[in-house]
Amino acid sequence: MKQSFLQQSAARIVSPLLFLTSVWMLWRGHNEPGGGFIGGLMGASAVGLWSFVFDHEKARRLLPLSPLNLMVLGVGMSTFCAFWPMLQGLPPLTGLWLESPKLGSPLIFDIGVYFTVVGMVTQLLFRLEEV
Amino acid sequence: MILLFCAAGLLLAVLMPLFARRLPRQGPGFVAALLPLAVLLATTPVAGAVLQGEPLIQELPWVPSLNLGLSFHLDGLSLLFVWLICAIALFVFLYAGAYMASSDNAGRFFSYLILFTIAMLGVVTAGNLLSLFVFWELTSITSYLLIGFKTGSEASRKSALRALLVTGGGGLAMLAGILLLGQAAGTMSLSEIVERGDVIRADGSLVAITTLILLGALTKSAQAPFHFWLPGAMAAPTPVSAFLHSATMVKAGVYLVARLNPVFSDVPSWTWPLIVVGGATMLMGAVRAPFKHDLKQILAYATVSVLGMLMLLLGIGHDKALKAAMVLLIAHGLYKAALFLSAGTVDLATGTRDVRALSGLRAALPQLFPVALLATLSMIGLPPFIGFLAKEVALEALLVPTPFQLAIMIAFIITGIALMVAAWRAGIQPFLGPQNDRPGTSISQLLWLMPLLPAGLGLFFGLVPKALQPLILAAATDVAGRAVPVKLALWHGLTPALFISLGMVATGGILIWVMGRPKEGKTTAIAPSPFAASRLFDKSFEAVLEVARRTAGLLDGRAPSYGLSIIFTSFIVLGVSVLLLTNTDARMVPDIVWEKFDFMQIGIGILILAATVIAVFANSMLIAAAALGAAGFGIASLFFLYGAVDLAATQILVDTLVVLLFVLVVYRFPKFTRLSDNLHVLRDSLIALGMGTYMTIMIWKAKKLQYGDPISVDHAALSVPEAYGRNIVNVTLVDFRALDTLGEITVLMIAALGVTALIHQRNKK
Repeated sequence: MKQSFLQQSAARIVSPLLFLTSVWMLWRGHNEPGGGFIGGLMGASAVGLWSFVFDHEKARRLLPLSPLNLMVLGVGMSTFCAFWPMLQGLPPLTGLWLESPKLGSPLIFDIGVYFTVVGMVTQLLFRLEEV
Repeated sequence: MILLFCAAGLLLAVLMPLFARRLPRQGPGFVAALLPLAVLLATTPVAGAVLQGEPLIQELPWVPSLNLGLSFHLDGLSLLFVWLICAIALFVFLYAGAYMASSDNAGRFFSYLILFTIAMLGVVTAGNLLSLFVFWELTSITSYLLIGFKTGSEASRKSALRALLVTGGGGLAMLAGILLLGQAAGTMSLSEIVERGDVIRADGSLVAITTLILLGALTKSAQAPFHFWLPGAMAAPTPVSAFLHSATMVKAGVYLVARLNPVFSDVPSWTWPLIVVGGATMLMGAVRAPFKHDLKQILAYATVSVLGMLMLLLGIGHDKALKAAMVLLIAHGLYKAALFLSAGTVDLATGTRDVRALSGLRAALPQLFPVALLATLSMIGLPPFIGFLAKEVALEALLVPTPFQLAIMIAFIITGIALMVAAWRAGIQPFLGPQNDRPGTSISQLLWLMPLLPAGLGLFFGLVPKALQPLILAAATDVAGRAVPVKLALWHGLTPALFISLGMVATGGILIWVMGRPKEGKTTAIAPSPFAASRLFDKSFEAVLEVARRTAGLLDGRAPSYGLSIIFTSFIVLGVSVLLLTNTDARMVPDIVWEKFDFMQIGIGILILAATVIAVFANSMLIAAAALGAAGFGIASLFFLYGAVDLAATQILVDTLVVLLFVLVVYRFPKFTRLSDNLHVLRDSLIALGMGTYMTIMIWKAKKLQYGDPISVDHAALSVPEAYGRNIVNVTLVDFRALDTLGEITVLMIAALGVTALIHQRNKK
């Protein structure tokens, strides 16, 4: 689905911005509106925009892993957060926090959600584009 | 500690397929064998205390109010099983390294084997009924993966599914029984349940509990009429048969019965099924075994028979019977594993497992013959092997007066004779006789060395039974729930048991001589009767599939909206009936306070309505999609108005993406055409309106029902102090209700996989 030069130039600016915004949304989710799902959807939109304006091979190369592997990584990370506390004798899914900076296992969980959503949406996008 | 092994094992299982290619040919076996070796080494130092009666306990509570938690409990009985499992695992893994050396999927194979081992160890060390159930089902699933390992073979897949359905169905019944038991006892912890025996026995649901739990145990241990999955499971690669289906997984049922024995040993609804079903299975399996053609089938039916014997002994339940069961467990595990492994070696070397064709193998496989001989002699029950010890102890147990003693004794004697013939046919006969023109190919040393180890242990423990005595003592004590005197010796004196034994061996020998060698090409197997359980199962399975096909076929050739109209109509009919039956409030519509609405809300409401109307009356997919998207944006605006920012943002993003995806797919579709006449349009509109009205009424009603304080109050209060976050929605998603989110992202992944598979299917055409 190649588009006009104007759209391509715009996408070259908008897409990275979208991606950065998505990471920012992920990061701020705990205290402000945002979070893994919203961030993931925005990140997937960035990839989606690139694939509409250029072709989907180029968009596929934007991702470090294939969409399916990205999903597996995401679910794996979140599952790991579930079992990690058990190694310290705590019930599963207990939040483990560092004192300063205030970082904790829910953040890793959220990042896992982010990857899963990005993987899923891009997988759907790419497969449906092929149809 | 135990959890550490689970985690380490899991890691190994996950990584194994990735690096299996880089290892030398038999490498994966050695790597996998590290796990059972590590467990054996780790349990040795604590064995002393455990065998003295101080179990090792490790608990990880999760939701104490629901008794949910992982708890591990290592006592004498568990230790016996752990050592049996790990020892056989060690031999089988090393063997399998050589057996699967030529396969590309060795990594995946060992991955499954390791997962199974962890699951099995979990079953026997579980301290809590729910943990036990989880691991129990895990063994069923991993067994499914292992039986169906040769994914290209339809026989493998069918047998695997059959095994899964039978054991899974039993497992479901067992779960019901476990829940009832937990309720009756007031706890899920196994050690406490054993102590509260009187409370449980007084409970009204006792018969239900025993029946349901026995269903689980009997299906897992392949007892009649659920036995048929085990011979089918022989489609699995031989290391799997040697490990799962002779020494470990099928013994899980025996473990459960043994573990709960202190609670139920005097309960008739527990002991009678065990005796009757166990005894019948024992006889049936033994009588069938000698007539099978396939080496593995002979061994499979023999296993079914011995499992029946174990259930019978546990049902009889007095001290000598329990002692006999424990010894038989070990003896059978050792000789059966050795025999299965030898059968696998024979299969690899000659290319066949047909006893009618195998002859004179002692020339082609000289090192294997003594191994098979050792194992067979133990199976027949000749001194000085442990099999003899097991048989003697069992006979002594059966000589103690019990109801139906004569019938049981006769059944046992027939079983022993039949198993002897079976053992001969499977273990010794292929090696004797003239060498036919099946050349043996040279085989790796591991393939005869590994069966030698369990067979050798069978000889060792027969000669030095005192070595096993503390273990058997501790295990029998746990099974009985009180101290049980156990003395093991090879020679018991000139007892009646000895004479019966001699008689059995003599009769067996005569039978072997009379029956001779099965002729090539001639069928000796007894054909299954029309009532055979396996036929019934297959027929029921087919019937279920046929019903499904017919039901789905009702929608064949019709537009998708037909199915939808059926669903909606049923929904409305059912829903309205329930509403009318349970409605206490005559008003269907709540009081609408018009002053509360402001201009924005009414405006957005009108916009949403307008968008919906456009969507319904649009004449092309694109317009309809865009209109629905507009409706979604309208809803998102409402969310904004009410302050649900996260919800609104998610709604907008999902809406945009869905419309985009939709357009991707349908932009090539033609414009809408009118396919139905006015009557049908009217009918469909009425159904749709009815459904919408019903849902609206339900939502209004739901608003008025309040069962307790909303949890959002607690969440709001705890959000900052305990979860360090000011965004309650996000904190709920990733912290308070993280388990739900984990489930949701798994569903996302499955949905994506589903779409991928569907499109892949379409592309193939």
